[in-house]
Amino acid sequence: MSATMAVLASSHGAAPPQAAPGRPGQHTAQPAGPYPQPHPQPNTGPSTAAALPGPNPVHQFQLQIQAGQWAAAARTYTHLAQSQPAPVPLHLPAAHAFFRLGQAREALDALLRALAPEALAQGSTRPAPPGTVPLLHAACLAQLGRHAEARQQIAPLLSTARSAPPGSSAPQMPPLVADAWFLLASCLAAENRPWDAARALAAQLPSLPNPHQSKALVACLQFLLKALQDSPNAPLKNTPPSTTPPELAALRLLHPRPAPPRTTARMENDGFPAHLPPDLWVNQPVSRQLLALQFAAQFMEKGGPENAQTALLFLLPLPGPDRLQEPAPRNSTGHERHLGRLGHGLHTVPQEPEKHGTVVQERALQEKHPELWARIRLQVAAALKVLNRPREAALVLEQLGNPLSEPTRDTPAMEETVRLHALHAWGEASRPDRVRQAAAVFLEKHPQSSHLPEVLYLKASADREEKRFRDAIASFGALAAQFPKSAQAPAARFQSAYCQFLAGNCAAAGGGFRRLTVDLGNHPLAEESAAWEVYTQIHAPQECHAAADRYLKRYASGAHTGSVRFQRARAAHLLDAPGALKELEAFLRDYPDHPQREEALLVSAESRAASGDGQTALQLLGLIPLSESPVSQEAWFRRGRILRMAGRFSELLEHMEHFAKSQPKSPRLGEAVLQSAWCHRKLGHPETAEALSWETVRLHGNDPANPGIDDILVALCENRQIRQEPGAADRVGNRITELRKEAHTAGQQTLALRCVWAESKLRLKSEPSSRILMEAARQVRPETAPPAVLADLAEALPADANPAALWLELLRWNPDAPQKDRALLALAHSSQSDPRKALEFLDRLETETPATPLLPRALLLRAHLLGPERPGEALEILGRLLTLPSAGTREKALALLESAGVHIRQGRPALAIPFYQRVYVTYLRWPDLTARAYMESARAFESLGDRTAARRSCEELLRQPSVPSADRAAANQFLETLQ
Amino acid sequence: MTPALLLALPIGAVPALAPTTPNDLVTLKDGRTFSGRITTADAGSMLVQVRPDPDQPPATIRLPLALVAYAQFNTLPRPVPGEPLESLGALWDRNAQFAHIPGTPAPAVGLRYADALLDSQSASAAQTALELLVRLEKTAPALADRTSAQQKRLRAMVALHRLEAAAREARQILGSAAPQPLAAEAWIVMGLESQTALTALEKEHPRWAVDDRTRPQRQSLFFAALDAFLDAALQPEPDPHIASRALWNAARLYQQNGDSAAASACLRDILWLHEDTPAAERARSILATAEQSRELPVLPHISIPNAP
Repeated sequence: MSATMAVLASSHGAAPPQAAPGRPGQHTAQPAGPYPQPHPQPNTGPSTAAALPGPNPVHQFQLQIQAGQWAAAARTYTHLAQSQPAPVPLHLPAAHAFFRLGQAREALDALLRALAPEALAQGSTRPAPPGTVPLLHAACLAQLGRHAEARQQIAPLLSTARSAPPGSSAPQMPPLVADAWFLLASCLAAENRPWDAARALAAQLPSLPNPHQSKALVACLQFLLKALQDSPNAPLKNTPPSTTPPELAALRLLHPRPAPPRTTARMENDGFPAHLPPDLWVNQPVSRQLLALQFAAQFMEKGGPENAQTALLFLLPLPGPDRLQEPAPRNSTGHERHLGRLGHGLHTVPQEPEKHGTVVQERALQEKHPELWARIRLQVAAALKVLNRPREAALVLEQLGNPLSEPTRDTPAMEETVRLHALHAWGEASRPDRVRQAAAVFLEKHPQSSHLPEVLYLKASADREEKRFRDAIASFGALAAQFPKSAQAPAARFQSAYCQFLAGNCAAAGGGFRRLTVDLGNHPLAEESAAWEVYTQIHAPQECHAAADRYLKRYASGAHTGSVRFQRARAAHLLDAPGALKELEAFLRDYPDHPQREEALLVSAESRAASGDGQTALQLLGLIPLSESPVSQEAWFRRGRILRMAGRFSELLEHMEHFAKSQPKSPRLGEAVLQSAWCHRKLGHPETAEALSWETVRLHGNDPANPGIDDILVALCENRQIRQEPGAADRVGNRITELRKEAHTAGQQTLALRCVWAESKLRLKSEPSSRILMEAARQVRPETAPPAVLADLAEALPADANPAALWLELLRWNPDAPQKDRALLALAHSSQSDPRKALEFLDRLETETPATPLLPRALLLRAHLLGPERPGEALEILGRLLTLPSAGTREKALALLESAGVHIRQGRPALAIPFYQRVYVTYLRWPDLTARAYMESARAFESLGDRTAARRSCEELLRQPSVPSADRAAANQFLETLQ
Repeated sequence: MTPALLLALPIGAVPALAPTTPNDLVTLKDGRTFSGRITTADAGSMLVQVRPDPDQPPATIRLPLALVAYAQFNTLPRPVPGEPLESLGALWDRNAQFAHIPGTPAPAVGLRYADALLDSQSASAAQTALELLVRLEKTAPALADRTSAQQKRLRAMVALHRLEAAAREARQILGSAAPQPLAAEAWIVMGLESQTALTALEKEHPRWAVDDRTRPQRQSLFFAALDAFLDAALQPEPDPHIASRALWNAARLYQQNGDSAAASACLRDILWLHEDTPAAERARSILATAEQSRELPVLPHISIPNAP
């Protein structure tokens, strides 16, 4: 309610009209001041029109005042005042009329006439209710811009209200006093003191009558917003504890809740009420959301993570549906409205349609103002992004883009934008899985979007990150083909070639990069492509050298010139090209800090050593400091090799001992120790050599992740000395026993197990060896066992002792162990009764250990498993095995036998016979397999009715010098049947 | 007219009474209002003690619920903030019989009691809460109350280790346009399900970090749990208790992932955004301990009380 309304109402004895609270649908919450322009309103006092008819202008004036005809009343008064001094009792109503008309100066004049000493002395001024005259006086002054005087006028009126301590549960103040507080705050704000204005009004919030309270709340926040706009960047957490910053006050007003004691004290010190009614905002949800958004936007504009965090504080905890509802419809009764607020409204009575009661109202709010709602959530997402929390930002955006939860479905453009931002946010959060999902939704919902190339690019990038290279290559390629003019097309082509490289298709990748270099002309990616053509060809020195030449010709001082020069020098070295060494040295000279410097030093040293210049090679390698990097360690061992070749054993010993001391966790520890021991022996100290090995085992043997120890133990137990020198094995055995006991006592389970394992190595191929291993296998704790030991234990177990369990434990505790291939093959063998499971193990073996030497055996088993059901595939696999360079002769012979077996099972013995023949012609080295081939071919001939050939096969078998006796007996028996 | 006679009379024979306070008020669908004290109720009717004449002893009338539009219970005691569990139980015992009457405060009392039972962290209390919530879900006239009961029932199911069934239900909830608090609770359940699977996988594959085969599966479970918890915490217009519980779970998950910094950030979010929840108190003390010992203590696997 405005001050004027209160003044008029009280001065005429009418009940004060109720001010309407801010309408929920009204977006722009206005502060209470400066005063809104008044407009004529009918008086609500008792009508005296019938009693005062007649031409008397004084009576006419009174009638006009009572009828709310302010303009007419003002004219009558002015007319009266022109002809004669107006009667004193008319001055005050005239002042009201002028004020109503917005004529503050005339109103003030009339008021001053009413308050003149002679008028007061006449005593004819109609007595007004206390406070109304000063309030009108102050309001006039305020309208005239005399704010300080206005404040002085109302000071006595406010002094009574000030006596109530802030935050106390003071009784509601009269509306007139409430108006005075509004006026005071308006004056302060107009004097550019918004912070004081907010404090002055906020302090009275708990005692303001209800309609005033809502308006005051909005006004306070507007003042605080102004204060924030004027204040320097002062984030919440950096404010001194003695003051309540505007943002904290605003937060308290927006989110009334019990505050922590420290905050409460701070707020009370500054005049802000610490305890506010929780339902303060119940009628103004939209104003609240809008103000929260304005504050958040204010902080976001200031920039920086701290301000973004404060912005979130305004937006994220906006109240839930049980506390934020629009008022019930106007035609409902007070009781219904009450129930509605409690969440027990009539809409929830069972006979009503089944809807989500309070949620219906909550949704209504969002659906009425979807853009405001979307702006709030977008601001939340923006703040989260500033805080470098893309995952949370993406989730908020996805919630916003989900029509089930948010009302953006009517604004497809916004929906598209939101989805695009969400996609980017998921990308920033390194969540390719979510990028793919979000991209799929986007492509489905917005097939005509202008952002399609961008989305396709993000999706393809996600495929690449998830190592789905085939999909990525296809997606990047499709993008470049469908949108060749898009900004993403060159990058898509680049990525397509890069994915080829990542997929191991270096030639295709190189070709792609080369085409791109030509096609792109001066595009920035052209140089990148030229450089990447070089990198993709590092395993093809000829092509690499040519590509490097092309790059250097075009980009003599490009971003990749250093790396490309190194690659060209390296390729020249591999090609044994003249000038390679010079090129390498030039690279080292020109790029002293290049990341590939160590690699270049290594290659240079190799080149020098190959040309017989060991000393320079040593110097070059000496420039590489020892570290954990494989290049550095390789350089160290190359230095060792040169020293060894030069016979500089003392230096080599020192060199390797330094390595063992400084890199005890290195996988090359065993190598270093064994070389040191070798030096000791060379220098005539064999006992020192052995002692060094044992000491290393004792020191580092309890670490299951140190494979070097296993190498040392194997070397100790399986060397030539053990085999040749009488008593050497016993000596080593005693030492092992001693160390095992020591380890047991010290609770070093891994070392103790290693000792048991070493003992088995010492008694290799003997009965006690397997017994020792089996015993150890039954007691082993897989988590403490080195994988090499565990693999031997599993292999030693007989089939009925469930070795598969130990193999699985090996994989469980050592998923990246070098023995993984052994484990997977063993598991496949043991699962033959369930071919699908066995094939799964073989799949894993081929994909997870692609360089395994066990591949031929794996292929054999795969063919064996597939043979009965899928003979064609089995034969294909066996054919592949026969071409494998890594396949041994035995595996090849077995492959031939297996191929023949497939044909036999298919009822085609004629096709099987050539395979048998190849075995006994080519692989005589394997008598058991040769014998089997002869026998099977004899049976094949016999099944074809060629008994002569069958007999001949048996006879040839019997002529072989080393046929196993069982096969010989079988051949004789078969011959007899053929007779 | 004696009470017995009144009970025997049809409703039409009883004059509608002028409302007087502080009596209960019953409004029939035809607009008539009865003032008195609602004494008992059953599935089909309620008994109201009325006093048509101040000089006469009170009479009791039976009002079929089919005729009742709503009732305003002014004589039943209401719980106050911080009401102890036992008092809430007693209040619920008095209210329970009215749980199905439109306008009844019984569901609100029951929901408060269920919260208190769940906060007490005992299995038997969780079982009591579950039974109470099942009843409210079936009988509460207001859908908001039934939804709230469903949300709390999910929590009770988790407390009783019925995660699988809870997750099944949560999936259904998330597949529909569920209201926010229920959706947020459903996300928490989904997160807990993924986290449980994650823990089992990590136990089965202790070296998952170096296992190329297990790592993607493990990461997928981790992110599924994390997304679910954060989704619950970031729901628009969040219930602060549910949001803070979601953030607590996210902090525990981050800690399980070895990311103490992110776990601390979640705890700070609780303090920052939901400072008046019980979870904030716990977060404050844990962060203080972490500051002293320079290490985040292991976050307990307990549900954060809802009741302030």
